[in-house]
Amino acid sequence: MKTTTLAALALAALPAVAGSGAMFRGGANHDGVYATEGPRDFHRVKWTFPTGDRIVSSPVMQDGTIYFGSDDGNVYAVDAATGRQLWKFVTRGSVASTPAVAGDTLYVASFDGRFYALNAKTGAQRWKFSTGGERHFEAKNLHGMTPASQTYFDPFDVYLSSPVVVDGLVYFGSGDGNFYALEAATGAMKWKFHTGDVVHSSPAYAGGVLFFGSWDSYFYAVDARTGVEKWRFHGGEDPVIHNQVGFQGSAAVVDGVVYVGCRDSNLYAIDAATGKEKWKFNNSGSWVITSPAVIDGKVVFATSDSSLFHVVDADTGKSIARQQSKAFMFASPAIAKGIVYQGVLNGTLEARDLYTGELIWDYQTDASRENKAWALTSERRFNMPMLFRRDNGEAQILSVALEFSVGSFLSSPLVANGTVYLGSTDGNLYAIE
Amino acid sequence: MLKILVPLLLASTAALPCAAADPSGRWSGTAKVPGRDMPIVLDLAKDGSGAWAGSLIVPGFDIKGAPLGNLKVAGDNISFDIGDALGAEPYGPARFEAHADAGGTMSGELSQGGNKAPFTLKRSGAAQVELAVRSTAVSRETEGRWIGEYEMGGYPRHVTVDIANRPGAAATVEFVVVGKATTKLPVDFVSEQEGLLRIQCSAYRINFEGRLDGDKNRIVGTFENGPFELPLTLRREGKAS
Repeated sequence: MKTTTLAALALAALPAVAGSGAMFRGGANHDGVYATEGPRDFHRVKWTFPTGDRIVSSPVMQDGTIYFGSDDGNVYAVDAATGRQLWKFVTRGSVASTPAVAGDTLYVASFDGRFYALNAKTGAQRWKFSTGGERHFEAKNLHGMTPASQTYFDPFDVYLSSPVVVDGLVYFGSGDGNFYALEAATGAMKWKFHTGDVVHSSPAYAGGVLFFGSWDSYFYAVDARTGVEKWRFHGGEDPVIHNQVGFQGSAAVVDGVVYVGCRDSNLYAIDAATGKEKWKFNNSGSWVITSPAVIDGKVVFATSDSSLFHVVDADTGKSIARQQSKAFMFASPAIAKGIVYQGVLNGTLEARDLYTGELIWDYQTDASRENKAWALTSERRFNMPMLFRRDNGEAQILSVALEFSVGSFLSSPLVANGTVYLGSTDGNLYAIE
Repeated sequence: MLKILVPLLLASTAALPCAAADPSGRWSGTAKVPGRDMPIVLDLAKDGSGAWAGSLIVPGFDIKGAPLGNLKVAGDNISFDIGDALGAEPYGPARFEAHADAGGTMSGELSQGGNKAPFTLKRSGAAQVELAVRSTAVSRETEGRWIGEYEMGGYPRHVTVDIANRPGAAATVEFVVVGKATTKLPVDFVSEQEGLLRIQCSAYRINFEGRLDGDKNRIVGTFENGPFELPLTLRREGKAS
């Protein structure tokens, strides 16, 4: 079901924006590469922009304006130079989706179950589309939460699908299990593709094909014009505690290969044409939520529990560099001129060398320094005995909230104009230079 | 962890004039962890041999009667740790350093995970020290290497259990599970009473309970992992199932 404003009907077909940088991961193929210089050293926090709740969404930029969502329910437009608010748009749910901007229209999803098209200059609504309703991934005995026969929602399912806009169509996944293609100008549904569970990964686009994963354990390739499945790839399953199942992160598609992490602890390289596995890199039970960044034959990604930063060979999956970080990583790496910018859940932004993975500089949020309830050790590792005391579901969900109380970076960095922009669970959007 | 409540005969908890403050008794208060006051109830007393013993309660942290380790009482100064109760290495053991004054106040510093927080406790009654149930020796027939298999979530797991008595001490158990990975369980309790063998790994929420069968070459039991309970029969290595 959708609602459409009359004004939107007058819009011409919108151009493709692949590579424009105004969408999640810097472009439609989601390679996470920014053709600009980022800060080689930490100088200062240029500005912060406070919102009313945590920021999970990643910022995008077009024409000097930063766009992002907040879990306070608002979509924001902020002047990139000054951090001054230009406009905000109110939705009825957390905006944990990263906006895409095509032409003068911004597209974004909200946990209110609606997908919005806004005037990027003014924030005025152009149209909205109602999905079948948002929800988090859920399962009985999820992660071992007790009582085992109780269904729990996954507190780590924090992201919403971020749209990609190509050739007049906008694509995104939904918690209702569907993957949607809408007319970018009007919001009219072109087609939808049903999967077996929540789709909160963000679609990557290459060569007329959309690539996305679902929590049903499958990763899909679908024809962008018709919505017809080209192939599906089966990740791992976990019928007991549902911990090692599902594609939460998003794929990068480079040179005919899809690179995607999975909760089954593998990073997969899949032939984009056939869906056949080229190689996989196993992480011994540690989730791969980050969307990999790919450049010059290298795949960069990071892990959750093992907290490892990896650079692997794109052709073979063999390790090139491996560095131990201090805490879990969900945010996706951004590469700019040989430096990788990586947000960490302990409230630290790390800048690492692309070739060695070595730490160049880092920045720690005030909330991380404050370290409420000793969520962190003095070495900035998660203080697991203080966080996870019991396995009953309510306690675990509260523990995850405590884990995110340290200014965690779930948001993926945007690099532009010598500045790194990203949001934090402390509610601030940071501009760091 | 299993515990029994052992009421100890206590000397008067009143402060003695012109002497070091007697730290025996129940002490209640909070540690000032940033953003979250941590309530603490400490029980300290001398046991029948005159040695100090104690236990700790941390409401809200699932800690009730954690035994005190490395307990030292030197005049007004008290120090102890609580073992793995607030995390094993590298997080723990959580350590307390305190000073008791004659006015019924104990103050000091709690350290855990490299963090430090001040705490202040007030006397709140007589000590109710809980002593942990100790592991025991096992029967001679139970000693040895045992192997078995179980399946969880569609994946087979192989189990090897080495059980050995030590002179004058509790038995030791090495419990190794091989599945996707090889995991050596940190066993923290073993006992065999009335023929029931119990092996416990609190850190992984794993329990094994079983009994030797007639020919003493099998231990027929159950393997519990959190809410899951599976049959597990261990057979003596080298013996057919």
